[in-house]
Amino acid sequence: MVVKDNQKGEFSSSRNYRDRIIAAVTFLGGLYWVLEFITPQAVLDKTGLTALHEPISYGFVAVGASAIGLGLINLLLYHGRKVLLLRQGWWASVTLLGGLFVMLGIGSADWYATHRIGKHNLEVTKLGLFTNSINDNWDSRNNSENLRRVELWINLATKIVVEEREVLNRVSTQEKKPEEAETVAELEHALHALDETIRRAAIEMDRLKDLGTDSSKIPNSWAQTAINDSWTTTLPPLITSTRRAQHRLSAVAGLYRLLIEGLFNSLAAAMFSLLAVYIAAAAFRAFRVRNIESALMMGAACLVILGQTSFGVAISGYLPTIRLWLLEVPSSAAFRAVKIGAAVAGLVMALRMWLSMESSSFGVKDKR
Amino acid sequence: MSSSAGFQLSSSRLIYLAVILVVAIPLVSGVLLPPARLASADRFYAFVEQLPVASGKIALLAFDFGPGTKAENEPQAEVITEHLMRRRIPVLVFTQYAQAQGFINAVPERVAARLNREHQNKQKWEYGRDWVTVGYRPGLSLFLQALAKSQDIPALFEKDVYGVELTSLPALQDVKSIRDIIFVGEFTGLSGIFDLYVQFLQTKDYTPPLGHGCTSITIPEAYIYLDSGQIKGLLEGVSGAAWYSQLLNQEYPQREPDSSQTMNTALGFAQLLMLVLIVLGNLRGVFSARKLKRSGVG
Repeated sequence: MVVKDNQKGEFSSSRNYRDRIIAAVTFLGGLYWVLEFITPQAVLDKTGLTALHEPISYGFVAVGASAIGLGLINLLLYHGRKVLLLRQGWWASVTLLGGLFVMLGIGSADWYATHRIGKHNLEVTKLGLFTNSINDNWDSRNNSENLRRVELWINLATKIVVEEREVLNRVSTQEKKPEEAETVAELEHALHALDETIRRAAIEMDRLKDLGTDSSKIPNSWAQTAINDSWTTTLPPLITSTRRAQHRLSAVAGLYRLLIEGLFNSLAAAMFSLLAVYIAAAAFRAFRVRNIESALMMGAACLVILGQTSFGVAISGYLPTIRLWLLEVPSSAAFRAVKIGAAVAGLVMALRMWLSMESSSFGVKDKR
Repeated sequence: MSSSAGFQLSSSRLIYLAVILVVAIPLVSGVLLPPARLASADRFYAFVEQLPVASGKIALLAFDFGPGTKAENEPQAEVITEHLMRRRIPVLVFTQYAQAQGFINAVPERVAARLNREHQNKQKWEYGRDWVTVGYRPGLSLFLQALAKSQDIPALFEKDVYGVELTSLPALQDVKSIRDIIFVGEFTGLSGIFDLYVQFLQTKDYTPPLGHGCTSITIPEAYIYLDSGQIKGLLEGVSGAAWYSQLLNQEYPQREPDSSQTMNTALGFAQLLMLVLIVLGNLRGVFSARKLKRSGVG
């Protein structure tokens, strides 16, 4: 792109290398999506792009998410400078940054706590898989390997039982919802079942030790029956539910709920609810029927509003039908036209952005 | 202060007070008015009622609303979740709007607790079997395209909000691709989000049936999709949720009441007040104009 230099009357290039790189990257990024959409699936499969599409998509999402990081950096720079240099309104910046760090900290702690629940669930699920593995790989000629596996299984299972009983004891003494109390009782039952399996495994381990290397008397795997024990299916979801109950009662979850449900949700809903009173005041002051068009619009609005309320139904049974006709016929026709127009305009804008023709954000501004 | 400005100020305060009272009194007193019948909600109910219940099939619910539109979208999400749970169709809940995180756990949990109380443990609704929450998923159209093309949906989502692997949850064990999604319900007040589901959540030979819950202001925009058959049902604001709740009451008389009919009653009174204010404002305008004419001005 060139602009005319007003003083000399000559044309000169105003695009530097930075703009060219941005334009090139924008074009290549958009080109991938255009080609991916229009290329036949068979060609995509053959070139291996189908398998790469998902990671590429997530790459684009990550690039978009980096905007959040940029926003955070800008916030810290701008408000941090205000606080450090004690500029006008620095106390507001302290409040903002304080709120930001508190929310970041508590949100991160809550996220970490909930993801640890998944880790515990995984340990128990793996115990079940390990039981299957012992059964599948039971080697009647290798007693020492069998013994090693059973010992390992017992250690893992005992660790799980001890940890979960600690959680159970803590949750049992705290106030719970009725469904949580039931889950706690079921978990107790499932842990008893696991205890029983551990007991049988310990008996098996002692027998294996007594047998030594005498392979003719190696018994079948205890795991043959253990894989069908009830805890293999009931324990993982019960552990998740109990740990969720424990988390719900924790200080971190309480603080998170206070910030999100107590503050953020309430304030955001209150802000939107202000619209109701402002619209009511505007309706009284400004909504005037001055000509035929506004009278038609007002009439249609009244019919639509009355048609969906109980009062309208009480006034006339035809109002809902009239309302339906208004929405299905004239309104839909108008909105279809608006949507098509907006879609075409969106397409044109997207094309201009893809080709960097809308370059005022990045390019050199014209000096007029 | 001039008399006109004084009148405007006092009338504004009266209007604010009237709005607060008209909305608050039904909410506090528990007065309930029967909701108006909405054909779009009827269609939605009939469609969910005929959905097949089969192993390995799920319904996908997208709670793309935040605290601002919670008043309309949350009752919608609740009634649809309840209907699906009653029919024992496993539900997978997610959102593409970060501010919805407070609701995607709360709504199915509340519904399940209500159902468990109603059935007094003769039947139970449990997490992992009857519903799964996978939380916020960024990416909008990119994510929806990936979901449509995925041949292993549990692997795409990986874990639920508690970090539990989805493959270990009974509801999703036999679910593979978009063909196993028998219904998609999308609830939002945001402009432009719903269009992405219509556009991108489909393959060349399969489009999951779509239902939509919208706020009152986006009803005209949503009707074009209902009319063209691209969505199978529409909940029009909290009024749609209230009528749907009424249909559930007719089918399940022992059902506990939810908040939709209470809020619909309050909304009905508020809308009536709005119409009265418009009429009063126009009358005031007419009388003011006549007064000015008589006094020789204009």
